[in-house]
Amino acid sequence: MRAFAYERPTRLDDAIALIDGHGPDARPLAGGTDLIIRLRDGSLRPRIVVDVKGVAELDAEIREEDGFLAFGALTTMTDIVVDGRVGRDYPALAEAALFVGSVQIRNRATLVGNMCNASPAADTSPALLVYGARIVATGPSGTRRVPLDEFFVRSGVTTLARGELVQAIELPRPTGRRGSVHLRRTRRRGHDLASVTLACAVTPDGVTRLAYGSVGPRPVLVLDDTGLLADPTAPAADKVRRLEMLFAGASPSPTSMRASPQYRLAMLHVLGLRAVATAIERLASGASQ
Amino acid sequence: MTAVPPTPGGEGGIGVRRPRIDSLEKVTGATRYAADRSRKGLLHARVVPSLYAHARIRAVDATAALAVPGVVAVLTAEDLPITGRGDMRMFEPLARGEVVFAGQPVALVIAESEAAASDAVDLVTVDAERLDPVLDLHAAMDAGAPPARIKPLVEVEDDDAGAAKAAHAAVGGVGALLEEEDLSENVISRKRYAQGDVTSALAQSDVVAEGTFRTNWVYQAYMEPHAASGWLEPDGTLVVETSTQGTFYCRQQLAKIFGLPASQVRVLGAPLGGAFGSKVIVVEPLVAGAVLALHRPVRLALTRREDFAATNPASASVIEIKIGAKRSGELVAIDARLAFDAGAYTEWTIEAIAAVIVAGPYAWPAFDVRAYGVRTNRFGTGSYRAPGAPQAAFALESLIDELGERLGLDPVELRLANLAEAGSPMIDGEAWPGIGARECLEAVRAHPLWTGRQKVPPGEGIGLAVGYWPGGKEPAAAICRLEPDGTLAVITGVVDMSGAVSGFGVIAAEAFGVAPDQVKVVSLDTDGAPQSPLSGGSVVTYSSGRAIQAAAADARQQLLDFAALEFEIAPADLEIVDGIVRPRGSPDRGMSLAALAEKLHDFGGHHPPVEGHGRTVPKSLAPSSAAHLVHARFDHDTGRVEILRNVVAQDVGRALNPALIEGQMLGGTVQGIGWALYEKLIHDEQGQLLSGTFLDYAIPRASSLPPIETIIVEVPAPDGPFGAKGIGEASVVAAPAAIANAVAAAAGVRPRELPIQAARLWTSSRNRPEPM
Repeated sequence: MRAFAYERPTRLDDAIALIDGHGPDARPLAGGTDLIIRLRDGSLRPRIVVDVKGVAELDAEIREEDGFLAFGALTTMTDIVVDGRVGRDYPALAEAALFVGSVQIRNRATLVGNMCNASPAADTSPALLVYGARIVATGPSGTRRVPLDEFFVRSGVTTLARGELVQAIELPRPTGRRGSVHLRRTRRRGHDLASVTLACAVTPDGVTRLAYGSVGPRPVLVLDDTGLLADPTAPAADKVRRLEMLFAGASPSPTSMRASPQYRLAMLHVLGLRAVATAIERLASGASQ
Repeated sequence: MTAVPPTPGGEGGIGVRRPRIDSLEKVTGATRYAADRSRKGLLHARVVPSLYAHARIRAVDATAALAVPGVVAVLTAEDLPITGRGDMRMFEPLARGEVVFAGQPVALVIAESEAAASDAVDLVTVDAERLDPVLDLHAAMDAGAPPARIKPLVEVEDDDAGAAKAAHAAVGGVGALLEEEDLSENVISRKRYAQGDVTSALAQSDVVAEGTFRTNWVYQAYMEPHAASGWLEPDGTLVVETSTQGTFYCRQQLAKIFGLPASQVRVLGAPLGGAFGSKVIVVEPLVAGAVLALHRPVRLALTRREDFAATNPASASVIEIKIGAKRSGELVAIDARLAFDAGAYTEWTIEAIAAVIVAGPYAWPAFDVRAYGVRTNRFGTGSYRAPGAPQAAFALESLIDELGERLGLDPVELRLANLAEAGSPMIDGEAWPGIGARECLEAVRAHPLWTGRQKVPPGEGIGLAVGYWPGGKEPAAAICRLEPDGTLAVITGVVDMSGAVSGFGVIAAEAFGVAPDQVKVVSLDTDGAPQSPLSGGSVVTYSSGRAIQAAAADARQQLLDFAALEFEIAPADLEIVDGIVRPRGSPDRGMSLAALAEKLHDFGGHHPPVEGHGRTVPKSLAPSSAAHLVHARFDHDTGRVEILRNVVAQDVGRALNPALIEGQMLGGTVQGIGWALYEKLIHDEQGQLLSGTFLDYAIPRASSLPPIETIIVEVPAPDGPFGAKGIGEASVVAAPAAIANAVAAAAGVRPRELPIQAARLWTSSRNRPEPM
C-alpha cells in the first residue's frame, strides 16, 4: 500500500474543499469496503484519503422528509435491511441490500458509497432506479439534485463534478400501492459479484419499471407503460417479446469470466419474466406498497 | 518394530465425542500462527512476481527498489546459496534465467517493514523476453509442441521428484510396458496398467459407456496463506519456523537444497491454519535462502493474491474413459487415458495415483489405463486432499451410473455386485485390503433419501457415488512419558493438520489405561521430536497413531513394573482403574498415578523414569471408502443446480473421536461441493491468472451449503491403532461424482466437466434431443 495523506474533516465545507483542492488525487472514505481493498491491491493510489465519517452534516439517518425517504451519506446496508419503512415501502431495496457482501461488509458498506463506485454490478442500483431515486450532491457551488438514472456514466464514473460529495439519496414516497422485487443470478448464493441483477416495480396504473445491472457498462432503467407486462392475464409469449424490446440495449461484456454474454442475456430475460410475475403477485396481495 | 500388546480396558474413551484439544485457543484467536510470531530484528520479504507465463530473463534492475527507505536487499536466484539440483520447484525458489509461469517469484525484496518491501517490489524492473506460453494440455503433448521449459533444470531425471510422488499414497507399483508414442518433451511422466485384451472385451460387451471428462485447476483455499520465518542460531544452525505439513520432510529438503547436513537444520512447525496438501515446501526455500544470504532473520508471509498466483493448486485433467459390461451388469473391461496438467513443476503430479483410482473399487477382468503428466506454463501442481481422486471418481462413477441406467439396473446393486474382493489384485498389482466400500454403499442404500428416491418431484433427482483413498504407511516413532503429576506426555513430531493430534491423546489414553484428559500431546520440532511422517495422504493417525499406541503400552508396562516393586506383587496382577494402580481384586489397596509418579521423580530416586517408546511401520494399507448420496434440484430456466441434501457414509476403521471424524467428513463433502459446482482457477490465453482473489474464485460458503448428514461406518483396519484408518481424504473423493449423478437425475443431462456450471448445463439441457 502506497503512503497517502489522511484527513478527517468535521465540517462539510472542509471536506468539499479537500476533495475540490486535490481533484482526482483525493478519494472520500465512508464504509471503505471497496476503497480499502483497492488501496491494498494498488488499483487506486490517491494522494489523500478524506474520511467523511466525522463530518457533522453527514450521518447514517434514514429520515422521512417532505415526499421523500432520505438516506444519509453514512447509511449502511444493515441500516437499510433492518428499517421497517424500507421493508414496507421499498422491499426491492431491502432485498438488494441483504445480498451485499456478508454481515460484516453490510455493517460497513454504505448505500451512497455503493452508488458512487458506479459498479454496473452494484446490488442496490436497480432497486433505487425503479423507485426513482435521486442523488443530493453538494459541492463548492452549492447543492443540486440529480436523478439516479442521470448519475451513472460507466463503471467507476459518475456525473459528480469536481469537489462534489453525495450528501444523501432521496426516494419519492409511494403514491399508492406498488408491487416490487429484486432478483439476481450468481454462481452461488451470498458473497459474489452479481452475474445479472434486476429489480422490478409494478403500479396499479399498469406501468412496469425494470432496472438491470451487470449486463452493460452501467445499470439501466426501462419502462413499460403499455400495460402489457403488468397485465396478469397477458400471454407469456407477448411479455417475452415486450421484454426483448425493453432489453434490446443490454450489452454484456464479451470477456467476463463470470458468464458468457449469451447466458447473461438469457438470464436477464428469465429474471425479467420472474420479477414481473412476482411484482404482479405482490401488487395483488397488497403485501407491499 | 515394537510389538503392540492387546487392547486394554477402555479407560481412554475411544468413540467418545470430544472437541479438538486446541479448539478453544483457535476460536478465541489466541493461537499464534507463523505470521503472528515476532522476533527481534526480523526482516520482511516480498516476492517480485513474473508478469509473463513464459519468458527469458535478461536482467533484473533493483536500483530504484534499493533506494526505498528500509529496503535491505533485493535478491535474485544467483544470491541464494543453493547447491542442490533437481527438476523440482524447491531447487528453483527464484526463477533462474527462464520464467515458467505468471506469478513465479523472480526476485525477493527484503526490508525492515512489509510496507517498504511491498512498495519496493513495484520498483524492481525485470527485463524479459516473452516466449509463447504452453497452456493447452492436449496440444502440449503433441510431438511438435513447443516446450514449456526451454532450459531444463537438470539434464537427467532426478530421484527426489520420484520420492515426492511416493509421499502421496502408497500405490503405484511398476506398471505395464509403455506403448511407443510420439509425444513432446512436455510429457514428463507416463504410467500404464494393463491386463487382458481390452479391445475385444469391449467389443463383446453388451453395453459400453464412454465419455471425456474434464476438470479444472482447483485452489486448496486454506484460511492461512503460506508463511515462514527463518534465522541462524549462534552455532550456525539454520532454523525455519513454518506453516508446514511436515517438519521432518521440510528439514530433509532444505538440507538437500542448501547442501547442509540435516542435523544443522531445525524446522519448527507453527500451528497450521489449514493446508489440505499445499503446505509442503513452497516458501521455506525462499526464507532459508534469504537467511543464509543475509545472516539476518527473515519472514515471508504471502498475501492472498500471491498465494493464489504462486503456490501449488490441484491440476486440471482430461480423462477419456470407456467401460463395458454384460447385460447382467458384470463389468468386463475399462479403457482409460488420463492426462493431468502438471504445470511448471512436475514433482507432485498425480497421474499415477489417478490411474489406479480411476478403476474404482471394482474388479475388472480386462483393463488398459494410460496416464500422462504434462508440463505447461501454469503454477506447478501440488497436492489437494485425495490428489487425483475426485477427478478420477467423477469420470468413472458417472459412467457406472450411466451403465446402470442403460441396463435398467439399480445403481447400488450394480456397484455392490462388482466390488473387488479383499485379497484380489488392484490394477497396480497390490492386493486389495478390506476397504469398507460395501458397508458404505449398504448404509446409503438403507437411507430414506435413497429408498424414497422415486418420489421426488420433477426437476429434482437423487444420485450416489462411491470412492476410496488408498492411504499410506509411513515409518513413525513416538514417546510417552509419565509426568511428575501422574499425567502422560505424548511426544510426536506430527504437525496437527486436521485434529489428528487430538486423536493421538485418545490412543495413548486407551493404550495406557487413563482418561484422555490425563494426556497432553506435545508436538515438537525436528531437534526434539521422535521421527514423524508429514501430515498428508491420510497417513498420520494410521502410522504415528500406531507408534503412540506402542509407546503408551510400553510406558504402561514400565509403570506397572515399578508399581509391582512398591506393592511387592507381580506386574500382571496389577490394574489401572480411574487413575489408580491397584492389585486386581483389592480396590482399597491402590496408589494413584500421581503418587507413583512423585516417587519416580524424587531427586536421588532409584528407579528409571517411565518413558515408553514406540517405533512402527504399518505392514498393510488401510484404504478408507466413502459413499455419497445427493438430492439436487435443477432450474431448467437458469441451469442452476441447488443441492438440497447430502448424506455421506464413510468407513473409518474405528472412530477414535466421532466429533472430529464427522468434522472431516463434513469438510471433505464441502470441498467436494466446491469441486462440483464452483471452483475453477482461470487463466487467459497468455497464462495470466484471472481468478486470483476470493471475489473471482468462488468457494462454498456456509450460506450456500445444504444440510449434510454423516454416517460413520467401522470396518477395522488390522494394522491401525485400535482398528482406526486414516480418514482425512476419502470423504472428498466421490462427492463431486455423486453430485454429477444427482444432477443427471434432475436435469436429464450428464455433466462432463467440473465444476458443473449453470451456463453449460443450461445450454446442454436445451440442446439434448429428447428428455431422458
